[in-house]
Amino acid sequence: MSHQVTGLRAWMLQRLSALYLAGYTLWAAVYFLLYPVADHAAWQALWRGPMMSTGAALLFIALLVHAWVGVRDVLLDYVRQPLLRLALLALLWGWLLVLTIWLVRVLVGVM
Amino acid sequence: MTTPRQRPVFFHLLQLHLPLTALVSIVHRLTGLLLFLALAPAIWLLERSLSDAAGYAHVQQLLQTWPARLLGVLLLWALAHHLLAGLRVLLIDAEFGVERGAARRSALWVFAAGMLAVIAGVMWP
Repeated sequence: MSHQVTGLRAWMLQRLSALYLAGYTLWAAVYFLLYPVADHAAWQALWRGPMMSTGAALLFIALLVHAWVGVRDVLLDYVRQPLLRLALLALLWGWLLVLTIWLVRVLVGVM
Repeated sequence: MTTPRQRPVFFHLLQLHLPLTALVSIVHRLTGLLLFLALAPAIWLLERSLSDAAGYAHVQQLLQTWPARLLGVLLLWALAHHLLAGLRVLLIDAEFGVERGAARRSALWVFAAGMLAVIAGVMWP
């Protein structure tokens, strides 16, 4: 790997993404409690608006970064066997890549 | 030189007593993994609900079935616990509530709030 994200950088990414995720989650919880979604048209319109499409795009980026650092930490802590560790890390990478492409497709699809 | 193998080993899981602060921490990790596993099903639900009116109705109907309700409550609890345990760590990083008494109290609050989330999830119509 040419540029590893280790130690302090990963720690910072973890915390920065956590702050955004926490803020967005709390905001979304309050918003949907106050304004429940009426039907499919309203739901789709919501995702076409800038608040949701931009906010959610950032949310997905934060989520994927956060999940990556978190699961990576768990793997580094518990999987000691080097080859197995590498394989699982590669699997994690692949899986997150699949989720990323999928999320982009969903976001682009609704626009 | 070899290290003497006389370190005490105590693996009786039922008698190992984790302090509350450690328990919050390990559950933080477990809930994180749980939420990670929930990502793919969640994206699928989002995609289906956005696709068309029939997809939206399908997701609505799917979420009303009891296995989905059960999983929903589990994930709501996981989210609440993970979020609050995370905020607790951020506060401790910023040197708030580092002392043992305060750390123990905040750990208790995280568990209590998690239980509230479970109750809210069960009561949700």
